[in-house]
Amino acid sequence: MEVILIISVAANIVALIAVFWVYKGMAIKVPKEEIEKIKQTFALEEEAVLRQTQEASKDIIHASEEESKHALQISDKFKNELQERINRELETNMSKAMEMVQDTTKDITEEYKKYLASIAEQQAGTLNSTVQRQMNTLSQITASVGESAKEQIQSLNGLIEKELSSVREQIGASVKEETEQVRGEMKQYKEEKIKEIDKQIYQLVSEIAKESIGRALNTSEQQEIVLNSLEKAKAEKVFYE
Amino acid sequence: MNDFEIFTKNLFSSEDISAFTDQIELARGLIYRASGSSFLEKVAGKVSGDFEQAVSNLESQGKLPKAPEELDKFLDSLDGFVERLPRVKIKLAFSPGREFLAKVSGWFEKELGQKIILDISLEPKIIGGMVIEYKGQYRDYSLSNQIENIIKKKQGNNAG
Repeated sequence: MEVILIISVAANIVALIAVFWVYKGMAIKVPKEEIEKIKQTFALEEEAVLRQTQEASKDIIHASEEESKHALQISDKFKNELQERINRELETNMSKAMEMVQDTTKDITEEYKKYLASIAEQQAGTLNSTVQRQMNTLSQITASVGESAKEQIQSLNGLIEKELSSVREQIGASVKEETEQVRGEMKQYKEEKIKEIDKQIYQLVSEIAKESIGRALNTSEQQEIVLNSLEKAKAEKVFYE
Repeated sequence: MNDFEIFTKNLFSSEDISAFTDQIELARGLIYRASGSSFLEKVAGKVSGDFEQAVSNLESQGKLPKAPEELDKFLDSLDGFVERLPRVKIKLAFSPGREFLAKVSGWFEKELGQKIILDISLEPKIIGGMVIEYKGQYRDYSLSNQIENIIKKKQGNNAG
């Protein structure tokens, strides 16, 4: 409708242009005054025509606009109706499609459940027998391993007992040796200490003796001892080469 | 007894020798400076009594030269004689008196047949007795040493 309206408006404008050019093409050579008169007349007429044309154009445009409006109204209404119908159809179809999908899904699910149930039954049977076999094998292996482990533990017990006995003997010997060594060291230490103490005692006795004797001696006795020493030296031939 | 021994008869120790050497030097100085016709007159009252006595003895016997130079030589010889007297080193625990020194010195002179000068040193640690050193020989006759020997012997007996 909009296209039709635009075409009709354009057609009116073309018609007006054509009328204008027709009038323009009809000009005839006449005297200037006549020409002027004619020009005025034509001018007036032209003006009048133009006014009429303008009026007519206005009417046409108005009519065209009205028509266009009407056409547009029709077009919008149709469009809305069409949209509503499409929506309804779509909803209907969607609803149906959903139902179909749900039904189909349900059927497939049921079938698949049945299928799985049958497979599960089959596999359960197979699994049971496999498990049973493996359990038996495992039981045999366990028993075998248990026997082997028992033997190894017994062997190990023997070895440990033997090692322990050896270690006990070694420790006993080592302890005895160390005890002897410590006893020896203690004895040596004791002897050294006793010697040290003896030395100190004798040193003390010596000091006391020296001091007491030194104090006890008078000059005469000192002199007597010196003279005795000279005699001793003589006896030892200290003065004779 | 020679002429020099008259001078040294009362010399017993190193201290005596040292003092006597000083006397010789004093006398030597008096030979030229002092007045008097004899050596005795020159030294009289100026030297020690023993020295003066010895000079007197020798002069009375006419054994001292009269010329100052000769006297000088005599004193030189006397000094050399004293210095050459044999010595014995003795450590004592007490300080000996002159009498005891004379006794010891006499003992040496008697035993060895010659004058011996005693080089005495005091060592109270030795308690008593003496430590003697003569011509490279060394002997410890001190009481200290004897006590230590007794203690060592006792100690040895106990240890054994």
